[in-house]
Amino acid sequence: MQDIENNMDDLFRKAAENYPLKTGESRWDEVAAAIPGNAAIAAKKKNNRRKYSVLLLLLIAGLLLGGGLIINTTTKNKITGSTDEKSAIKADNIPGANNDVNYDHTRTVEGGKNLMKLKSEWLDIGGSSLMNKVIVSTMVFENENRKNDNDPVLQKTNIAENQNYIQLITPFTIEENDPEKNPLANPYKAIQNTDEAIQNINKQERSVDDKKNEIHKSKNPFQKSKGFYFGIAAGPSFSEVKSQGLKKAGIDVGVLAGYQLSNNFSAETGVLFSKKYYYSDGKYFNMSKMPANMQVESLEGSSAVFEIPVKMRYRVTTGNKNYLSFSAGLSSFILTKEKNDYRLLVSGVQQNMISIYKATHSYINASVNLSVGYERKISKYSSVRIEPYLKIPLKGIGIGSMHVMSTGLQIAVTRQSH
Amino acid sequence: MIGDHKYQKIVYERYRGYALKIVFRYIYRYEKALDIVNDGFVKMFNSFSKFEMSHDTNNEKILMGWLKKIMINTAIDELRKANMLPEIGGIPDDVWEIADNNQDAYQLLLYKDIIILIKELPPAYRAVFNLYVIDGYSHSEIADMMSIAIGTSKSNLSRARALLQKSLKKMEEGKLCRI
Repeated sequence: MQDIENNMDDLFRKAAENYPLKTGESRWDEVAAAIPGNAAIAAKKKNNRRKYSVLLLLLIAGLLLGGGLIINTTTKNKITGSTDEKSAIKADNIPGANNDVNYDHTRTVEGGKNLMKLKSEWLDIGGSSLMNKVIVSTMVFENENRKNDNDPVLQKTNIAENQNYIQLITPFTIEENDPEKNPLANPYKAIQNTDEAIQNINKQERSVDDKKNEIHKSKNPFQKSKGFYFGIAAGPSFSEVKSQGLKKAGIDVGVLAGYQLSNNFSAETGVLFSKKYYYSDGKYFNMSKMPANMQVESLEGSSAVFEIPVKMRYRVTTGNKNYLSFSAGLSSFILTKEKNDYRLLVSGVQQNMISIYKATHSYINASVNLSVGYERKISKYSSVRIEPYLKIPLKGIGIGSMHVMSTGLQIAVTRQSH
Repeated sequence: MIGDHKYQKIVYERYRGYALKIVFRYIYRYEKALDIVNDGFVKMFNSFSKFEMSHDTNNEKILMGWLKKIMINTAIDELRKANMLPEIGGIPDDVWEIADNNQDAYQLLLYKDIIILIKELPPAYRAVFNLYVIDGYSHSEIADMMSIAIGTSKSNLSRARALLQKSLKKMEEGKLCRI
């Protein structure tokens, strides 16, 4: 009986161990949710992850910023070739530093056609920290990948053991290789103080700058903006009285003088001799100076005047040597001669009379002077201009006080004083 | 390490089949058994600080033993909650794993039938039979776990064996008849 029971027990134990049962889908989420510690752990992990991310970002930012600061600091601390012993870091004070290439800032070596000078500087990178290792490794990398001879080179052999200092050798090239021009060109002439070399370089640079400025000035025609100018002007003119029509062309000829106030503005005056021809109906002729029994029906007149214009000019550049100008001003006249061919009624009888008046009369600000012109540079200081104009009368001139309006074309050649 | 959320999942996935086989011997319903398994794992992970790692390399066996104990106690607690009342209805066929290998199929079917015989015992008998015969508890331990007398435990075991023998006999006769 016992054996049967034992056999049966064995059978059931085997069945319990090996019976085929599906395990179904995982329900881990339910288990995880039911574990009280997991929510807190997950939140803590999330916070930790956030903290670590923030710390990592800060670390990266710190590395970049610190690297930049250190590089900037080292740039500022670069020895500029002076023998300012206060600013220089003496290798004597740097443990483990190689004193062979060191406090002698300059060491001239020959390389091809150009001479190469070496500028030595010790950079304090403040202790062997991760930042220093980054900087050192970066500079070593740059050392191996220098693209040209002017890139700085890091002397690995001169790294101090505690990596507090590194020596940066910066080569710079002297272009001039003529010993007459450049005392540094002589390789056998040891230069202990680089100030001299730098001063020479600075002088060269200044002269180059001066030349550049000159070229710049000469390329700009309007570079010399202020100064006097003089010129001559001539051109046809046409006159009429009260829009009664033009008769025949007169002429204007004279001299001009002006002062260029700026690139754009100038003040101009001159003296022009002008011959004006005009026609007028008698109603526009002032009879106050004529005999009482005389009535002017019409006249054809001419005047010889000296015009003194005073105007402001404004010019704008339209090209390399061209500009457009606008001017406005007032003209005064000195009438020297007037000749009128009258058609008269004398006591009711029609007759012609020619009268010549040679008395000099002046008419101040007798007309408004307006013009638009085109000017072109013909040489460094000279220019030619063509300027249509209009002179609007403000006062009457002559025996009959006629308002004579003139228009014409003025061609002028001017020259700047220099 | 097991306290880490990541490793808890690894433990759960690895041993949940093992735990389900244990619990399904005690709990009649499959779905209920799954719940009990999850409850057991929760208990295990919550009290994992009590688990003492041994100095030898047999920690998995120790862990499995500890897991088994937790699952059984959780299953017994569930039966006690249900007052050891008998369950109604049959066991669906889709809870069983189908063997691909023809050679093992007969054996597995036999094992399946035997487990069904155990599951069809009254809950009290089923529990004692499982605890004593399959899981190796003594009657005194069973009495403590089930809050019954030792005599009751022995009595339940005897009755369980009698029912199972009868069932086995019917099962064999039925197979003989089919042959």
